[in-house]
This record gives sequence, C-alpha cells and structure tokens, in this order.
Amino acid sequence: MVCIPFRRDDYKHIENVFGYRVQHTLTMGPTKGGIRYHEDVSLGEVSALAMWMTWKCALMQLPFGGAKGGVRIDPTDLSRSELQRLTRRYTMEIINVIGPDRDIPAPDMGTNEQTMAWIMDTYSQQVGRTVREVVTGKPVVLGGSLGRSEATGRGLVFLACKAAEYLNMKMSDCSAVVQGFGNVGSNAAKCLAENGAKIVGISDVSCGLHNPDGLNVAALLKHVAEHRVLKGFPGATEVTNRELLELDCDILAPCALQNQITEENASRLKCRILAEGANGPTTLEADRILQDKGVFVLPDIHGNAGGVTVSYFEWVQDTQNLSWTLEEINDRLHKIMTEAFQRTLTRAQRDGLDMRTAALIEGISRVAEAKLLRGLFP
Amino acid sequence: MTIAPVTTAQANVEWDSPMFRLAQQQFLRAAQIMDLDENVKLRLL
Repeated sequence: MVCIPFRRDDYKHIENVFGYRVQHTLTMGPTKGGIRYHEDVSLGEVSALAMWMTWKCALMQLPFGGAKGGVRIDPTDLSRSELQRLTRRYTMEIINVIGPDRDIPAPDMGTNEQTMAWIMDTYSQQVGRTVREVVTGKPVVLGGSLGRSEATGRGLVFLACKAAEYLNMKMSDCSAVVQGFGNVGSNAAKCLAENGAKIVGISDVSCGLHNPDGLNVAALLKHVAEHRVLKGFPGATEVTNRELLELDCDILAPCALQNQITEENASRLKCRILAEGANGPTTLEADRILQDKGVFVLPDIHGNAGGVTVSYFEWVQDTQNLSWTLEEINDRLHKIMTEAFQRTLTRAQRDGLDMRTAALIEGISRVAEAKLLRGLFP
Repeated sequence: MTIAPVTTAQANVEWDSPMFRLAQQQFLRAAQIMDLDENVKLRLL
C-alpha cells in the first residue's frame, strides 16, 4: 500500500492518493494481474481480485500466481500529463515488487496500453535497459501482442459457443444481452454477433438499450465513437440496468460491474447461459438460485480468462523475442479456453458440482498441489 | 496523537469489502467440498 503524491497541471497543487499492489501467492511463478484506476479501489477489492487471478491462472494452467493493483482516483478527472506523472510515481513506489520474473502488471479498469507504456518506460529507465516483458497489454509497437485488447471478450465468446454446443443450442438461433460496452462488453458483443447471435440488449454507464429484432454492433460502436456513450442510439428502447438483466435471451453476459446478479433478481433472469465477463458479478446466494433454475454458468474466473491468457502469450513473445500472428494467437487462445472448459465440465459432471465450484476446485487443487510439493521452508 | 487510531480504523474499513467477502466465501466453500488440507487452506486464504 503506497501513498502517491503527484503534481496537478497547475504546478502549485499537489494531490496525494493511495495505491495498492497485492500479490496473492508466489508459489506458481511470477505473479500477474491488472492495475486499475478507479475512485472505489480499496485494499479489500484489490485483494479479492488478486485471489481470483490465482485461481484463474491455475485453471488455465498458466505459470503465474495472482496479483492485482490499483490507484484510488477517478482517471477521467485527470489530464494526460497528470495521468503520466501519477503512473510514473506509482511505478516508482512499487518498483521493488514488480519485474518480468517477479510480478507483471497489465491494464484493467481505467488503464490502457498507454498506461502500460509509461510503466514499462519508467521501469526500464530505472534498470538501465529496455524491459518490454515487465508489463503486458502494451502497444504492439512496444512489444504488445496482437489480439490482446479484444482477448477477454473473444475468450468469453469461445466459451459461450462451447456452452451452446453442449446444450444443443445453435449460436445462429441465440439471442444475447451484454451488460457493459467497455473493452470486454463491446468485444464480446462484436464476437457474439460474428458467431451469428442476435444482440437484443446492451448497456453502458449512460443507459440500457433493447431491441428484440437485434442491435447492429458496428452501428453501436460508431455511435459510441462519435458520442462517447450509448445514450441517444436510434432504433432501440431505453431500459434500466435491472430491466436489461431480466430481458428474455439465451445468453446473458454481465461484462461491467461486480454484484449485479443477487438473491433479489436471480429468480427473474430468463437466460439459459450466464457468461460472466466481469469479476464477481454473481453473489453466492444468486448462484444457488441459478443452479436450481438450470442456468448454465460460465464463471468469471474462466469467462474473463482470455485477457490473462493472451497476456501470457505477450510475455512469452517478449521473453523470447518472437512475434506470433493473430491467427496463431487466436488458435492458441481457443485451445486453452476450450480445454479448460472441458476439464471443468468433466469435474462438474463427475462430482455433481456447479460450474463455478468445479472451476474453483480445478484452480485451487493445482495451486495446493504445487504448494505441497514445494514444502515449507526451512 | 490521534492519527494512529484513525489510521488503524481506516485499515480495517479497507479490508471490509463485499468483493473480498465473496472471494473468501467462494474459496472456503470450494475448500470444504474438495477437503483441502487445513494448513494449505490457511496459507491460500
């Protein structure tokens, strides 16, 4: 936990904000996890996300432990130069705990490839040589991987397709609702549409949109590029966040915030597949209700693991000075995501578990085995 | 002289997040079902 003083653009004003970096377990190798800039970031939130990263990496059989970091600030309130100063100072505050063989940050909510470029540059300046592999999610020109920015949404849709296949549903007959239109939500919507699903509902911070005849994702992206938010998009009815989640659909993909599907609304969900792109969107009580309703859940630690998987590809490429094509990356991502799906499904069926518990046990058992094999020092 | 107690109280508030409670509950439920070694459980919590 660090205190980060940085200068605002009016030179006399110095802002002090809190930053965090939590490494959950060092057993599996270096730790890996995003850095978020958000006004609600806290030690508890970052710790939870770090723990989930551990299970996620283990489930995908990546050689990482989990980590997460964040700065409690609203990044939309800062200019580009203020963001750069904040990022460089935060990097300096945590420089002794990060590194390509120690802890590798990545983008998360409120940060992007530019933030990663500043972290990489600050770290490299300190060690005296360019260390591209200290962060992932960088711009491609600085050693970033092709396909990284859309990886989380794409990975989620790979899983949704597998789940539909398992449930004997054709993607071309499926309707989908996506909550969130940021990096994960917009790419998930795009990939769902590419796979033939009809997007009947979508939302962002400004509003929810519903059209039972389908929403054109390309037109949505164009509207957001021009107006910043979905509000005002023609040809759709505005709905509230609660109404959006309860829309009639085959696939519901919460890709925005935690704690969205609760005891209060779970019984009213009408989807057959719940594909979790966000972290922690469903409470434990809601999980039980969904299981009783027969909703097939693709849990968050699996659903949004596409991001860290392609981050791993980026780290491997940087470490070995290799460049993989987009086709190679998507093929490898598909293989890793679907193999983890099969392992989880097999465990769920064999032990009579729900998919979330099966995925968690897959991840936890791998870490526990590694911990026991390493033994206890001294 | 009043800074230290306030800081301690703030630190407790910091940990008390719904997301952290959810992550812990999920882990403990899975650990119970898989009959995870008690020592390993405490080291991973």
